[in-house]
Amino acid sequence: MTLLAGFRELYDYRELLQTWASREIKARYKQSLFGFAWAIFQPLAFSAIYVLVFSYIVKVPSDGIPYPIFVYSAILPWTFFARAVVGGVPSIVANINLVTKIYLPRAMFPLAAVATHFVDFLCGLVVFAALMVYYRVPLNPTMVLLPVLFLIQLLLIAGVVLGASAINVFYRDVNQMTPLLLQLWMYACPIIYPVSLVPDWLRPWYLLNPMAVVIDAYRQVVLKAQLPAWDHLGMAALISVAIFVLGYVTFKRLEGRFADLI
Amino acid sequence: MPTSSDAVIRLDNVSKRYSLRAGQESLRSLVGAWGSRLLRRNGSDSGQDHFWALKDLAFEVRRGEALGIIGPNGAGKTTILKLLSRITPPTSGTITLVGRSSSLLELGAGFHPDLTGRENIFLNGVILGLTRRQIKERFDQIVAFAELERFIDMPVKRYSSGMYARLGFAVAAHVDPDIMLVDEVLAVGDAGFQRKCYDFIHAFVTGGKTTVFVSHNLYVIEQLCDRVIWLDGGQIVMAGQPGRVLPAYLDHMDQKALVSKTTAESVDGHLRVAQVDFTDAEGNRREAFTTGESITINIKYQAERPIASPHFVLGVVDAQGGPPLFLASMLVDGNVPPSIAGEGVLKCKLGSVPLMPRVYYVWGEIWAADRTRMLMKWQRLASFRVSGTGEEPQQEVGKGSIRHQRVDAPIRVPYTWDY
Repeated sequence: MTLLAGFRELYDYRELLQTWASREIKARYKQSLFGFAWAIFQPLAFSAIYVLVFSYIVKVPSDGIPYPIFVYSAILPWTFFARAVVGGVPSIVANINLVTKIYLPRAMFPLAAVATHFVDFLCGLVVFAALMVYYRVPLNPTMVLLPVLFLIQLLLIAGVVLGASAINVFYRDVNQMTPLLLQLWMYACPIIYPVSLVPDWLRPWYLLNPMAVVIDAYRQVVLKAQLPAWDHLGMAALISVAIFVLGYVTFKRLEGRFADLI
Repeated sequence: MPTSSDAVIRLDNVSKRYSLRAGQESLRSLVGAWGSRLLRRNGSDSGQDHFWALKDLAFEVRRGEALGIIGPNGAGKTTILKLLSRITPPTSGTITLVGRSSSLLELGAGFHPDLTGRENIFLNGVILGLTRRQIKERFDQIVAFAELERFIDMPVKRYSSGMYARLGFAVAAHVDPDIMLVDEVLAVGDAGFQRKCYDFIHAFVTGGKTTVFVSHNLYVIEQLCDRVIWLDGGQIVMAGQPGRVLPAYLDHMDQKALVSKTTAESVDGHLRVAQVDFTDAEGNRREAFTTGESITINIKYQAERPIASPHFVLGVVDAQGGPPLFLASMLVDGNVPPSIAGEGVLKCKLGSVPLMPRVYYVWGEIWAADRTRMLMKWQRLASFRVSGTGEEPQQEVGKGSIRHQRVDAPIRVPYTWDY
């Protein structure tokens, strides 16, 4: 009941969410030479490194897809996930002076971090579109599933960021652990390698990672014109929803103590 | 307490507990706490690691009322505002607020230093609950109020602190809430802008809006508030009209300001001021006097060896601080005892002291015979209280009377008008 009231309140504050997110974006690129170009450049640069290492030096198979677009199609959603988490986890601690001085729904801070990196994600999509043209990837009817995949990913991100940012107020260790855990998590996703390389005995466990399933599904629907395996996708959706609920409930339970503890 | 239907703020048995332990806890400390709990079994929740900022507080504020909250530091005043503005929840009890509230707790708290004044007006306005459309409509008024027309497209990190606070107040002032919560914000900017803020809040109060003030500035409380709550230790000491609560509060603070007994020593340790007390014209020991009475300051000294021509200087100082109101100085009058030795009492009789009611301190210093070397440095020796003028004000007592009787000029010189 109170959870729903919280959603309703967030909706009432949607203009704030929007203004806050745009403040973050403006402030982030304000005194920088290349501004928004960074949003595009970073995932692109990472992709280039991976192409160099895993396509030219180590020959990693990519299910017959050109390696650059193979890796970029995974780097893009992963960068969104990782950077939203890195930005979102310390967001409440970083806004101490607001948390202790003015009332506003506290969930706004981590969610705004997610929103700002969503904008970066959109910028990266432009590059992806260019790659699709270059590698002559046709528009497939399976791509209608993209919003569903994106929603699953979004719920997962929001759940992780909400829960972790709230716990980070009490234990700053969370923020310290974040890069390490993300590194681990990245290797647990089919980003530089295809799922087909994962040993059969490991695969059922491997596919419990919703991010792995979502990334693979992106590739399937966009690059291979295939439908994802429903059982895995359903499981990923279920786990993402569970993580979202858990993260949100954790956040709501802890948020009353933020102003006293910080 | 009686419940009136037009209460817009209501607190029922509200308590707030704060933990005394440091806010930052690492995972290790959590693990450590578990470990010690396992070892000791009974949790050490003895009450030493927290304190109650507010205890079973209950009051109401009616629609259109201006309530002032006064009290010494740590009384829980700001905690009340934090609870009312929903920054932190109460530990127990319930708080009901009807209508939209806006708090002037910290001006410009939501500003981002890298963004311009214009961008920050929108940002801060939205934080305070306005829609972008409302801000657009009020934008020119806000800028004009802050007097920042020329600087509005400059990043606020280049603003002076006064400009920053002005912009903060201007945005907060244009939220147009039903309830305004104000915490000591009238101290921003120059005198002109303070006046503007004061006038703004005054207009808000007289316009029938509900206001809760927290302030140490009793002038402002007396001028603006219909009702005052005096808080101490998280509980209400007294509540009622300013004319009743403020004098009681001032009396109480006066009592606390009275220092009982001070001893002082000379630089070389050979001369000691053992005790300082006060007597009236009849020689009775007193610590309270009325305006215009004669006061004798008795200084009991102990000199270990004879001291030739010690020059005593005594001054009466307002308890709020500042320079002495007047001095009795042997350096000036040359009326010096030839020599003092052993124990003795030096008396200084002040005839007809023209002080208004409040607490005063007696400070003193002692100079050597050569008048260049200091035997005892300037320090506080004792305090006394002036507790009544001995005459009732002729004018009808209204708003501002406490200010004139109790807070303004400390000295009253007899005067007559001629016209």
